[in-house]
Amino acid sequence: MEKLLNILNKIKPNIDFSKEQNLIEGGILTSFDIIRLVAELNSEFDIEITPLYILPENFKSAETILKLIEKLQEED
Amino acid sequence: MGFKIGIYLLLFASIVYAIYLALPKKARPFCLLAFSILFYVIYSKFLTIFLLLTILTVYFGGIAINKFNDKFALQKQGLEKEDRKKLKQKFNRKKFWVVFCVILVNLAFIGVLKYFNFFGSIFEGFFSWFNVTIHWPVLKIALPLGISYYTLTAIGYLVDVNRGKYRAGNFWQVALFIGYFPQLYEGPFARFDQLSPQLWEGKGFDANNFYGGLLSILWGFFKKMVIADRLAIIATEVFSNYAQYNGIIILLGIVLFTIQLYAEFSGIIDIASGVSELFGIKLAKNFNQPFFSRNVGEFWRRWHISLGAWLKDYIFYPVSMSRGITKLNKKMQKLNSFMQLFITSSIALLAVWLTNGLWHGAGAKYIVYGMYYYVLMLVGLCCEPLFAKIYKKMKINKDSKPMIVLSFLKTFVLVNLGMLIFRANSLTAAVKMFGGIFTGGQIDIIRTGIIDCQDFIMCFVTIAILFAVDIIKEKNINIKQWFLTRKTALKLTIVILILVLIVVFGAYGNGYVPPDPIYGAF
Repeated sequence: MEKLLNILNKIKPNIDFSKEQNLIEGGILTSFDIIRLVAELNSEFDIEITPLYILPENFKSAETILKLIEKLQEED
Repeated sequence: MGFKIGIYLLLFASIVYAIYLALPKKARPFCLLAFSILFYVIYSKFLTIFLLLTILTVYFGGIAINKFNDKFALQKQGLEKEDRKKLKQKFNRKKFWVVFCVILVNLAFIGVLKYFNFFGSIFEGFFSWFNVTIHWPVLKIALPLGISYYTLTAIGYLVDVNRGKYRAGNFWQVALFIGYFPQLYEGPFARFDQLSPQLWEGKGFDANNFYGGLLSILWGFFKKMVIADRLAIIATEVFSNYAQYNGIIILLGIVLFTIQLYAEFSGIIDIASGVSELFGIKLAKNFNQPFFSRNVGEFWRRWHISLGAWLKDYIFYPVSMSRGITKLNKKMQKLNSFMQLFITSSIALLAVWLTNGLWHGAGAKYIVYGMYYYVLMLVGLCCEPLFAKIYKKMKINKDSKPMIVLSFLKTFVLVNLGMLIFRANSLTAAVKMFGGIFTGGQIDIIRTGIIDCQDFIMCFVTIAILFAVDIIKEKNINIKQWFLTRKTALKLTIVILILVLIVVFGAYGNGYVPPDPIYGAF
């Protein structure tokens, strides 16, 4: 989780990602931020997030993003 | 779907509806498929072959992907993580080539049928710079009905199968999904996981679907025949003979064309959705009060929604997430995050708006139309931090009512400029018309002889009705739900009332030629 929070803060500083539960609909992460985030996650966690996984429910909080990462790691 | 094809669709749908209801549940989807093919054959005759080829290539492509997925699932068992990864990459490469070939074949169909002459003119123009004369043959062939819609729908389906969103369907499922007749003329773009289960449910008669569908069909005809076709009288005249008119009339022509296009396109979508609703099948939403948008980005999320969503899912994200962009992002780590975002976005958005422009038509003005929005998007992205600072410094609340209304107006002006490029007979005409806006002269449109006084008043009364309905919807009031919960007698009265309004106030009759739908038969 810490690694993920560091990545998120690198993309969008000054946000407490451990508490935020509405990253997409709250307008915190734009589609452009998502693109940068996906690039970072792919290289840091050795996964491949395809456009199929770009759904609001996968990116609404740090917790859901972590779940997505774990799911993709298991799938491999 | 002009007046004639609108009536044709309605008559056709009525016959299909009667037969559909008389059949047992399991036979109903096949009834829809058979009549969809018949609908297409009546309209496009031998060109139906292209629709069938698209269905076949996409079907076999999907089946091939299913087989690769099954083989991978079988072979990966018992393998170590690294070996599993290698095996996955091997199958991914195979799947990629399947998708690539199928897309290429389908793009070749549309490329030849829709863009052959346009590419020819580019080719000839290029060589004429070097004083070399090339004679590109001119292809004289009508476009298969809805080729720009069903090709993208089919590509989206195969890409989703490849991404693992769902398993490929059987032949009948794929054929009905791509060829379903109400959506063939002007869309909307469908998604297999949303549409196919509904198509195969074989729903019987449902009073809510019947009345709801009827309301949508009538409202669609009202928008097309009473609003759009009347506005088209002024818009067509102004765009055809702009040199004869002064600034105010040109401006009026542009604005009325924008509203005409909205009434017509959304009206036709309402007719298609209404027809589909009779069968208990809901099509994707394509409009969401687009003139209540605060910027052009939002406008495109509310206007032709299914096209925007298609471009986002199958162009924007794949380009943004491509290896090239990912590498570029890494190289740009020294730049500040805003510059990184700007450079990445400008590449992905270029692909999106170039596709958007080309999809709208084979011509230089359509590319310029796409590029116009591309530049607006980038300027918007650039100016966002600047405006945020200005608002903060001047203590302006950008969410206050006056500021919201101002942003609606700003978007409306920008959209109208886009429509000028889209509708003008050529790019030169668009530039001249834009210059013409700033010339003076008489304001009295009646004296120009374009339209008589009654029709002119009707234009504004009906526009007011159109916008009043949009305001109600924007306030989250569900008009259809209200209508469906009324007593049958009131529902029938409302239906008859709209029908009478269309018959009395519709723009048709002797000497009147209804315009071809702008988004029709793409």
